[in-house]
Amino acid sequence: MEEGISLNQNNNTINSVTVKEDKKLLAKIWDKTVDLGVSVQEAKINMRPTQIKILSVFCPELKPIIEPVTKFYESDSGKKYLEGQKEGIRIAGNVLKGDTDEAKKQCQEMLDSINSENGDNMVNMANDINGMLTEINEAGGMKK
Amino acid sequence: MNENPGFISVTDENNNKIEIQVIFGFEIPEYKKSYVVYTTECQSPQEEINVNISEYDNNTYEIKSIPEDELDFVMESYNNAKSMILETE
Repeated sequence: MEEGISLNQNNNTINSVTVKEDKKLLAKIWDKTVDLGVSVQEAKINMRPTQIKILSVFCPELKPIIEPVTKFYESDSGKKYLEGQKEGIRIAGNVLKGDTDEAKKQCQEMLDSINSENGDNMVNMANDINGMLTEINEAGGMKK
Repeated sequence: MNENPGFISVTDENNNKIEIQVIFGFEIPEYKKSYVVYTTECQSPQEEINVNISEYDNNTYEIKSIPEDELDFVMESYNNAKSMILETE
Protein backbone atom coordinates (compact mmCIF):
# COMPACT_ATOMS: atom_id res chain seq x y z
CA MET A 1 0.00 0.00 0.00
CA GLU A 2 1.28 3.49 -0.86
CA GLU A 3 2.48 5.80 1.86
CA GLY A 4 -0.25 8.15 3.04
CA ILE A 5 -3.09 5.84 2.04
CA SER A 6 -5.13 4.20 4.71
CA LEU A 7 -8.00 1.79 4.44
CA ASN A 8 -10.66 3.14 6.74
CA GLN A 9 -12.73 0.31 8.10
CA ASN A 10 -13.78 1.94 11.33
CA ASN A 11 -17.41 1.08 12.06
CA ASN A 12 -18.17 4.70 12.94
CA THR A 13 -17.32 6.07 9.52
CA ILE A 14 -17.78 5.36 5.84
CA ASN A 15 -15.61 2.57 4.55
CA SER A 16 -13.15 4.04 2.12
CA VAL A 17 -9.58 4.57 1.13
CA THR A 18 -8.37 7.94 2.42
CA VAL A 19 -5.72 10.08 0.76
CA LYS A 20 -4.51 13.63 1.48
CA GLU A 21 -5.08 16.13 -1.33
CA ASP A 22 -4.47 19.85 -1.72
CA LYS A 23 -7.72 21.85 -1.66
CA LYS A 24 -6.65 24.03 -4.61
CA LEU A 25 -6.05 20.93 -6.71
CA LEU A 26 -9.45 19.58 -5.71
CA ALA A 27 -11.08 22.87 -6.70
CA LYS A 28 -9.50 22.56 -10.16
CA ILE A 29 -10.75 18.98 -10.51
CA TRP A 30 -14.18 20.03 -9.28
CA ASP A 31 -14.46 22.79 -11.90
CA LYS A 32 -13.45 20.45 -14.69
CA THR A 33 -15.74 17.60 -13.66
CA VAL A 34 -18.68 19.97 -13.32
CA ASP A 35 -17.98 21.16 -16.88
CA LEU A 36 -18.01 17.56 -18.04
CA GLY A 37 -21.22 16.93 -16.12
CA VAL A 38 -23.02 19.94 -17.57
CA SER A 39 -22.24 18.91 -21.12
CA VAL A 40 -23.19 15.31 -20.25
CA GLN A 41 -20.01 14.01 -21.79
CA GLU A 42 -18.13 10.90 -20.93
CA ALA A 43 -14.41 11.14 -21.41
CA LYS A 44 -12.65 7.89 -22.16
CA ILE A 45 -8.95 7.44 -21.68
CA ASN A 46 -6.74 4.55 -22.55
CA MET A 47 -4.30 3.51 -19.94
CA ARG A 48 -2.03 0.61 -19.30
CA PRO A 49 -3.31 -2.08 -18.97
CA THR A 50 -6.98 -1.15 -19.03
CA GLN A 51 -9.37 1.64 -19.85
CA ILE A 52 -10.90 4.10 -17.43
CA LYS A 53 -14.12 5.84 -18.21
CA ILE A 54 -14.56 9.12 -16.38
CA LEU A 55 -18.21 9.44 -15.51
CA SER A 56 -17.89 13.19 -15.11
CA VAL A 57 -19.42 14.07 -11.79
CA PHE A 58 -21.53 11.63 -9.85
CA CYS A 59 -24.45 13.85 -9.13
CA PRO A 60 -27.64 11.95 -8.30
CA GLU A 61 -29.63 15.19 -8.72
CA LEU A 62 -28.86 15.05 -12.45
CA LYS A 63 -29.69 11.36 -12.89
CA PRO A 64 -33.50 11.80 -13.16
CA ILE A 65 -32.93 14.28 -15.98
CA ILE A 66 -29.99 12.71 -17.81
CA GLU A 67 -31.40 9.19 -18.06
CA PRO A 68 -34.75 10.02 -19.76
CA VAL A 69 -33.08 12.59 -22.04
CA THR A 70 -30.38 10.11 -23.06
CA LYS A 71 -33.04 7.43 -23.67
CA PHE A 72 -35.04 9.84 -25.84
CA TYR A 73 -32.02 10.87 -27.94
CA GLU A 74 -31.18 7.19 -28.48
CA SER A 75 -34.69 6.46 -29.81
CA ASP A 76 -35.64 6.87 -33.50
CA SER A 77 -37.71 9.93 -32.63
CA GLY A 78 -34.86 11.40 -30.62
CA LYS A 79 -32.37 10.89 -33.46
CA LYS A 80 -34.71 12.68 -35.89
CA TYR A 81 -35.32 15.46 -33.37
CA LEU A 82 -31.59 15.91 -32.79
CA GLU A 83 -30.90 15.92 -36.55
CA GLY A 84 -33.51 18.67 -36.91
CA GLN A 85 -31.82 20.69 -34.16
CA LYS A 86 -28.43 20.25 -35.81
CA GLU A 87 -29.80 21.29 -39.20
CA GLY A 88 -31.27 24.41 -37.56
CA ILE A 89 -27.81 25.26 -36.21
CA ARG A 90 -26.24 24.69 -39.65
CA ILE A 91 -28.84 27.02 -41.22
CA ALA A 92 -28.18 29.68 -38.57
CA GLY A 93 -24.44 29.29 -39.24
CA ASN A 94 -24.94 29.93 -42.96
CA VAL A 95 -27.12 32.97 -42.23
CA LEU A 96 -24.42 34.36 -39.93
CA LYS A 97 -21.82 33.76 -42.63
CA GLY A 98 -24.01 35.68 -45.07
CA ASP A 99 -24.68 32.61 -47.24
CA THR A 100 -28.43 33.12 -47.36
CA ASP A 101 -28.83 31.17 -50.64
CA GLU A 102 -27.46 28.02 -48.96
CA ALA A 103 -29.59 28.73 -45.86
CA LYS A 104 -32.72 29.06 -48.02
CA LYS A 105 -31.90 25.75 -49.74
CA GLN A 106 -31.41 24.07 -46.36
CA CYS A 107 -34.69 25.51 -45.04
CA GLN A 108 -36.56 24.13 -48.07
CA GLU A 109 -34.90 20.72 -47.63
CA MET A 110 -35.82 20.71 -43.95
CA LEU A 111 -39.41 21.62 -44.78
CA ASP A 112 -39.57 18.88 -47.44
CA SER A 113 -38.19 16.43 -44.91
CA ILE A 114 -40.85 17.39 -42.34
CA ASN A 115 -43.57 17.19 -45.00
CA SER A 116 -42.42 13.74 -46.04
CA GLU A 117 -42.95 12.44 -42.50
CA ASN A 118 -46.26 10.68 -42.04
CA GLY A 119 -48.63 11.62 -39.28
CA ASP A 120 -47.85 8.52 -37.24
CA ASN A 121 -44.16 9.44 -37.05
CA MET A 122 -44.97 12.93 -35.79
CA VAL A 123 -47.43 11.53 -33.22
CA ASN A 124 -44.79 9.02 -32.10
CA MET A 125 -42.25 11.81 -31.66
CA ALA A 126 -44.71 13.90 -29.66
CA ASN A 127 -45.54 10.87 -27.49
CA ASP A 128 -41.84 10.12 -26.93
CA ILE A 129 -41.14 13.73 -25.91
CA ASN A 130 -44.14 13.64 -23.59
CA GLY A 131 -42.91 10.34 -22.12
CA MET A 132 -39.46 11.79 -21.51
CA LEU A 133 -40.88 14.86 -19.74
CA THR A 134 -43.24 12.71 -17.65
CA GLU A 135 -40.39 10.43 -16.63
CA ILE A 136 -38.23 13.41 -15.60
CA ASN A 137 -41.11 14.93 -13.67
CA GLU A 138 -42.03 11.71 -11.89
CA ALA A 139 -38.41 11.19 -10.86
CA GLY A 140 -38.42 14.66 -9.32
CA GLY A 141 -36.00 16.02 -11.91
CA MET A 142 -37.84 19.29 -12.45
CA LYS A 143 -38.65 19.96 -8.83
CA LYS A 144 -36.60 22.45 -6.84
CA MET B 1 -33.87 15.31 -3.11
CA ASN B 2 -30.73 17.08 -1.99
CA GLU B 3 -30.73 20.76 -2.96
CA ASN B 4 -26.94 21.10 -3.02
CA PRO B 5 -25.61 19.85 -6.36
CA GLY B 6 -22.53 17.72 -5.90
CA PHE B 7 -23.49 16.74 -2.38
CA ILE B 8 -24.91 13.38 -1.44
CA SER B 9 -26.29 12.29 1.88
CA VAL B 10 -24.95 8.93 2.96
CA THR B 11 -25.73 6.83 5.99
CA ASP B 12 -22.99 5.33 8.07
CA GLU B 13 -23.18 2.00 9.84
CA ASN B 14 -24.69 3.68 12.91
CA ASN B 15 -27.47 5.16 10.74
CA ASN B 16 -26.05 8.68 11.02
CA LYS B 17 -26.58 10.87 7.95
CA ILE B 18 -23.37 12.37 6.61
CA GLU B 19 -23.24 14.91 3.78
CA ILE B 20 -20.36 14.35 1.42
CA GLN B 21 -19.06 16.46 -1.45
CA VAL B 22 -18.44 14.43 -4.56
CA ILE B 23 -15.34 15.38 -6.55
CA PHE B 24 -15.52 12.92 -9.43
CA GLY B 25 -16.17 9.33 -10.32
CA PHE B 26 -14.52 6.72 -12.46
CA GLU B 27 -15.04 3.15 -13.59
CA ILE B 28 -12.68 0.23 -13.89
CA PRO B 29 -14.26 -1.96 -16.59
CA GLU B 30 -11.97 -4.86 -15.67
CA TYR B 31 -13.59 -5.04 -12.24
CA LYS B 32 -16.98 -3.89 -13.63
CA LYS B 33 -17.08 -1.44 -10.75
CA SER B 34 -17.63 2.29 -10.30
CA TYR B 35 -15.77 4.41 -7.80
CA VAL B 36 -16.55 7.74 -6.24
CA VAL B 37 -14.03 10.27 -4.95
CA TYR B 38 -15.42 12.53 -2.26
CA THR B 39 -14.69 14.48 0.88
CA THR B 40 -16.44 15.31 4.11
CA GLU B 41 -13.95 18.10 4.88
CA CYS B 42 -14.66 20.76 2.25
CA GLN B 43 -15.20 23.39 4.97
CA SER B 44 -11.88 22.59 6.63
CA PRO B 45 -9.44 25.53 6.95
CA GLN B 46 -6.51 23.15 6.29
CA GLU B 47 -4.63 23.35 2.96
CA GLU B 48 -4.68 19.57 2.67
CA ILE B 49 -7.81 17.61 3.37
CA ASN B 50 -8.75 13.96 3.48
CA VAL B 51 -10.26 12.63 0.29
CA ASN B 52 -12.07 9.30 0.30
CA ILE B 53 -12.32 6.79 -2.50
CA SER B 54 -14.99 4.12 -2.34
CA GLU B 55 -16.75 1.68 -4.55
CA TYR B 56 -20.09 3.06 -5.63
CA ASP B 57 -23.26 1.27 -6.74
CA ASN B 58 -24.84 3.33 -9.54
CA ASN B 59 -28.28 1.89 -8.90
CA THR B 60 -28.53 2.02 -5.14
CA TYR B 61 -26.00 4.88 -4.58
CA GLU B 62 -24.49 2.64 -1.93
CA ILE B 63 -20.88 3.29 -1.00
CA LYS B 64 -18.76 0.26 -0.25
CA SER B 65 -15.20 -0.33 0.86
CA ILE B 66 -12.61 -1.45 -1.67
CA PRO B 67 -11.27 -5.00 -1.25
CA GLU B 68 -7.64 -4.83 -0.18
CA ASP B 69 -6.40 -6.96 -3.10
CA GLU B 70 -7.89 -4.42 -5.56
CA LEU B 71 -6.58 -1.39 -3.69
CA ASP B 72 -3.29 -0.81 -5.54
CA PHE B 73 -4.95 -0.92 -8.94
CA VAL B 74 -7.79 1.33 -7.79
CA MET B 75 -5.24 3.86 -6.49
CA GLU B 76 -3.31 3.72 -9.76
CA SER B 77 -6.57 4.27 -11.64
CA TYR B 78 -7.51 7.14 -9.32
CA ASN B 79 -4.19 8.88 -9.95
CA ASN B 80 -4.54 8.38 -13.72
CA ALA B 81 -8.11 9.67 -13.70
CA LYS B 82 -7.04 12.70 -11.64
CA SER B 83 -4.23 13.52 -14.09
CA MET B 84 -6.54 13.05 -17.04
CA ILE B 85 -9.14 15.45 -15.62
CA LEU B 86 -6.50 18.07 -14.83
CA GLU B 87 -5.16 17.84 -18.39
CA THR B 88 -8.65 18.34 -19.89
CA GLU B 89 -8.92 21.67 -21.72
